[in-house]
Amino acid sequence: MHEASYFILAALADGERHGYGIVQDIDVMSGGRVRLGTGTLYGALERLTSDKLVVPTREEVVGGRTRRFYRLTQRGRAVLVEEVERLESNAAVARRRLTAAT
Amino acid sequence: MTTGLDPSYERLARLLLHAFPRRFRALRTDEILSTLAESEAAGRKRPALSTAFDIVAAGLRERRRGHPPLLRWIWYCLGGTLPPEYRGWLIDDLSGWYVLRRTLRFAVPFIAVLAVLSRVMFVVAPNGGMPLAGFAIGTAIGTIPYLFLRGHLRRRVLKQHGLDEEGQPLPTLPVSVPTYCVTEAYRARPLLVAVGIALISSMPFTLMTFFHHGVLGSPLGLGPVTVENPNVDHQWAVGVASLVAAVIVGLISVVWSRSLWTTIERHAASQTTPVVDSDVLTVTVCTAVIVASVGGAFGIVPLVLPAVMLVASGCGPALIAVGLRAKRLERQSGRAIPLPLTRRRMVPAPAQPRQD
Repeated sequence: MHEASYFILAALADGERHGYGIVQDIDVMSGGRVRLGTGTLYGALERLTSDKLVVPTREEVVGGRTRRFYRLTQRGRAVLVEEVERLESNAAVARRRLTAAT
Repeated sequence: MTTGLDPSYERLARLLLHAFPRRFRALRTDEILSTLAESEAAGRKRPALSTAFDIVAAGLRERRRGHPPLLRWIWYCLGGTLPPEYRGWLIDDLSGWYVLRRTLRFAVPFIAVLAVLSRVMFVVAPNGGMPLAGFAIGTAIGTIPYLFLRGHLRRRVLKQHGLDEEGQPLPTLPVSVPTYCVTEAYRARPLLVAVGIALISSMPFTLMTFFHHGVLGSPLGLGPVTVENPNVDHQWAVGVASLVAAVIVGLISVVWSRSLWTTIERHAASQTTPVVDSDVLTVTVCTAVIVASVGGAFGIVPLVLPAVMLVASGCGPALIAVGLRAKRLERQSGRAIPLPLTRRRMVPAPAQPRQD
């Protein structure tokens, strides 16, 4: 899974967000390490939507601008859980080796 | 539209978004502009370089994602059908500059082959030679009918993929039952006979052209082919012969593709708009005449070949295969499918149970 897709799923894990909301959330979550460009964000959202991991929920007009909100689908949640477990087990393997070596 | 962006920023951003496929832009342009307005646009006259780069890179990735793989794409260019997962790409492909794209897809490989051939022929017949400029002009002329037939072509390709004009899937119908027919076949047959007669009667001229000037002869010495003409007496005859030959070649390709189309139509039963318009015939004949007159003046082969190629490509090699198969099936079953005598009248089939 692309890092962008992973972080977008993570950002949507606790509720719906709109495009810029996702960008901000990822910035905070990653401690400023991941800064999602607008193009990358919407490219990834398009992929996630067509894979039915994410769905648009509603639109809101703020100051003449349309914001579209997204949320995780059940499938998106399952994919994220699976990915988190995979990453965790990968990390655990390396950590065990590192502690054994010292 | 007020997105609260600086107008020049918005213009540039919209331009950059062209890196994305059309279907994507239609759905997301507003939303992306709104995100840009929130994230960086405040007070800016143009997007930051990194933003611009990011948009273009993401757009190209998105384009690549939806694009059919090379072999499928080549098959599609030859008139083949794409599987349903490329529907989005297909609908995009059929909009905008479709005619230009379609022409280039046929013309570029064709001209490349001719370029090689012309080198070979130059060695074989040094006073012949095939000028590429002539091919290019011929290609341009061959495109003319499609400029008028954009909607027609689009509908036909959509229908071939089982989609209606909105790009939505058509209900599936039993393929072998004709629900309507078009009388084009009635018009095509006498035309074929006329063409045959014209072809035979013009044979002496055609042969004369051939013997005096070779396959590539330039009758009036005007065009890109500069062949020294040793026998001035025959110039007019040769000119007329070229003209006639060009008309014939044009008409044959028209009639042939028409007849195939009609057969395909009869087999591809559907209750939507008839794909065959008689406008096609009119426009194509006009083009054949234009090609012929220009061809007569400039030396027939280099101009007429690509033009005919393009006119015939209205059928598309893959569709030709389908049409031939349909014709064979019709012969084998020995079932002549009745055509209505009224021009362009649609004949609904007797109520058939749906065989889903």
